[in-house]
Amino acid sequence: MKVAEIIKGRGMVVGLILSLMLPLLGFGSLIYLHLLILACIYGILAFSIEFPMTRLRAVPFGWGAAFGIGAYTSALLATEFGWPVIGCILLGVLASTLLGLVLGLITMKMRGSYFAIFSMVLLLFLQIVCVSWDSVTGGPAGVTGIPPISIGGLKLDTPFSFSFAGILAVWLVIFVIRRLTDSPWGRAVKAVGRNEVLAQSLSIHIAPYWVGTLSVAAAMCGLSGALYAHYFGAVGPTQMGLYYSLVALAAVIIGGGGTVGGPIAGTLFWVFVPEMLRMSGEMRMVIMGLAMVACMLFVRQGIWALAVSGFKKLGLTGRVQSQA
Amino acid sequence: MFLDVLVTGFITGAGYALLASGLTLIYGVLHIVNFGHGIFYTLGAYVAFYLMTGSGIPYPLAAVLSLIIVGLFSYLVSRSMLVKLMREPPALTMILTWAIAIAIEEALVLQTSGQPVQFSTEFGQTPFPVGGIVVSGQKLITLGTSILFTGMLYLLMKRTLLGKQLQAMAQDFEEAQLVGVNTKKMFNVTFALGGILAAAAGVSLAALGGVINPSIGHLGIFRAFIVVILGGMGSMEGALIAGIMVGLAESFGGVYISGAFKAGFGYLLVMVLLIFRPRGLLGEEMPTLERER
Repeated sequence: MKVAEIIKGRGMVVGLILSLMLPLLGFGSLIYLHLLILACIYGILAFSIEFPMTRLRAVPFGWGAAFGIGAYTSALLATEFGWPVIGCILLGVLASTLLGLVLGLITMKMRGSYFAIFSMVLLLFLQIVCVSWDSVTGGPAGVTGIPPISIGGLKLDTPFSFSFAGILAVWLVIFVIRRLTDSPWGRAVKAVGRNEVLAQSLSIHIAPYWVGTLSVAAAMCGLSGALYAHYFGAVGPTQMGLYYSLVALAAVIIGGGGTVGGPIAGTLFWVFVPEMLRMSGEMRMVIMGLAMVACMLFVRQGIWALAVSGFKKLGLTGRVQSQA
Repeated sequence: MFLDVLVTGFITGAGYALLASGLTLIYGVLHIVNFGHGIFYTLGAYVAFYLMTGSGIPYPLAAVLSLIIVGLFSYLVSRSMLVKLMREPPALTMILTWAIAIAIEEALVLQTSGQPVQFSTEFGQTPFPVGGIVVSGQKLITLGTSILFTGMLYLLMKRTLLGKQLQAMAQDFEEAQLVGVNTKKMFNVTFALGGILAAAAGVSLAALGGVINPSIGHLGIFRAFIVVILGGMGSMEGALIAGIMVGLAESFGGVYISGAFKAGFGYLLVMVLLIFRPRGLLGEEMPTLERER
């Protein structure tokens, strides 16, 4: 698959450089930059849920929890204690990693439906905590006045500057995922996902892979949340909500899992299509819901894989077939 | 006062039990968690509402029609989309039900411009003095509907051929096919039944508040999940008992403990239950590995 080959090694650097030029394409159009940043944030979110979904076949409906924890933690640390933003983001990631860890430990015996429900209830519980624990979380109003990321003296408080951080973050996540997937660890995770009993018979202990995958995935999701916080400047109980679970799920379902391009395609679909068609918030959700349904019924592998196979059929791979 | 809280809790609990019974039916027979169950509840209320206000149909008739319409609708949804994923891991169907529900709900929001509407009847508003307390007509309707449908569901499951087929599917999906159950058709029928039950709850329970909006399905479904897990996934009796328990707990908790955190206790309870006794009060033992179908 073309993109997969690009990601490895030298191709990855090329991709990184090319995408770093993306913000320049906007010619300063604020909307374009804003959407680009949204695509980065949601892209990381999509990758973070794609990881457990495709490898472990676990569908966490409550994935918004990791997003919310990352967002709230980073936001609160930055506003209450005034620590350097990069540090706050790292701590936000750490906090959501912890969440993933705990979730993994608790749900080790749960599969399928129970896992889905448990994560959803956890999310709802955390949301209520955010709303009612006024003193800490700011209640329904949430946390405002979150400072932007500043590196040295450089403040990333414009969409233009922030977009670079976003793109770099996305590539970091992609890099991590690729390295993990192609490692012995990643292969073990895949084995666990395919057939647990068989994996166990091959002396693969489920526990570390289950917990590890969820922790790593939660870490990425937390990064997404923290980035959200420092871009939008405010987070509230809505950020600890089902909406972000939906965005993540939709991106993976529509775009397709198991590849690098899939979640990206799904995220781009989610971010750019409604804007281009000028949809209202509700209409957007209707279309997303319908798109998800359509993909699940007809295009199970996602639009990215569909496009790639379409290109291949037309002989447009752009790669010379090498001898084995 | 105490009696009032008790009765209210009992009746709302009966309503939750009704909503939950649909959910637990779908899970018990098909091993699918219908994440879109709330939308049938919402639709039940809204269809009745539109029938009443648009065509001037009286409430009882509108309610019955709503049940038929929503039941048909869920049958069609199942037949056109859900059953196609029958052989896939249940996770896919769960996401699908969620996606469908979201699409419909947002369409409803567009339709109603996000404004809540008044959904009540004269009978519903009339107070009836019973014993030492006053009960609104709508509460009686809710109680009556719940008893009626739970009873009908019981009879259906235990005394009819259809019920036996559903039970067979619940016990072992493949074996049921071997003895001649048309599982594909029954798949759709199960969703239809679940839809009807949810709509029945929507028609009766939703009107208790007097106003409805497109997101009542959310509140309903969260409670339904609590009830289903507490009572045991797949257990009708469990749903009934758990429903009333939750209703009472909420009623008393709301009055004597109160606070925005009230619902949080419910969620905490569910999480603890899932960790230590996932089967709930009366549910069957849960497999730890995903069922292949």
